[in-house]
Amino acid sequence: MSAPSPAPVEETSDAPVADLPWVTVVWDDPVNLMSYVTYVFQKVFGYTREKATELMLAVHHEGRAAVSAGTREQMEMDVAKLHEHGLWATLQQDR
Amino acid sequence: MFRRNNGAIVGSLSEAEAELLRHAAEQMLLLLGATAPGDGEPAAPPAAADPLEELTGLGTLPSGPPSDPALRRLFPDGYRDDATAAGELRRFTEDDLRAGKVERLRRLYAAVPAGGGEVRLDDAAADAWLRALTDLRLVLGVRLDIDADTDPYELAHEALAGGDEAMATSALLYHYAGALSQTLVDALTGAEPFDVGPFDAGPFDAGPFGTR
Repeated sequence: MSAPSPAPVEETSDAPVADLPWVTVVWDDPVNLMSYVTYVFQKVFGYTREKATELMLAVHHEGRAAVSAGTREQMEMDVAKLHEHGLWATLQQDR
Repeated sequence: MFRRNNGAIVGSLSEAEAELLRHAAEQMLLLLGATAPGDGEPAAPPAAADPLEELTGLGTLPSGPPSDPALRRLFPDGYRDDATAAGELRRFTEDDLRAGKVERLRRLYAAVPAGGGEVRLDDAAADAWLRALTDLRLVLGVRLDIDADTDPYELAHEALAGGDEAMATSALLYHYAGALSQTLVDALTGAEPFDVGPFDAGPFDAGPFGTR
């Protein structure tokens, strides 16, 4: 899978779980048009067309991709925005 | 099908296409628990049974995912493996999510000329159409059990051959909404117009399912 950005933080044994950054994950679905998914990534996250296309292809080929990272609250907002556009998104701690 | 023309995004709908889109928007609004357009003012929400909800507008009852798989696709869990966290997030976001979807469907319905004709959209309206059409296709995708290998046109013909006209119409609507969406994305992003093939010929005017 193409590397999501920002790069995943390496988990260390003494890092408190609560300090791990969260990521928003978009899952592949058979309905959404590839061009539409790219459009949504550009619109919601302000990504360039190149980066949005790369993430769309990662979703398409790998079945899922981390599309944004940050605090839990930020990722809940990102997930809600993606649901407003009909994408299948979830958030999780990056590990 | 739409293309950009002097700043606006312009398309032309046949009478049958307009009818199909209006009917689809009505059905989607009913699915979302909203009144159909033309039925007057939206009904007032039912009185809250939860005392805290009356005070704060926020329910305290647990919020599970909808039981209808099509609604579950429109309102997915935000957490994959944590039903409690998913319910909490749903409690704070689902009403707004639903209201947005309803608003965009009403907007699409209102912009479709009843007897067909030209549609002119600014970018914000085109975005609203695109998202409403996406919700429609997500619902149809669940109802029709669409997977990555499904050819909706083929599905429509199989359904018709099997005497299932409702399924044939749904499959064609899915195909049509997808083609329309593709032209909206292309117009919004400045991509070269996508060749939408036989739909340019207006198959809904050529008999129920075109001549192919």
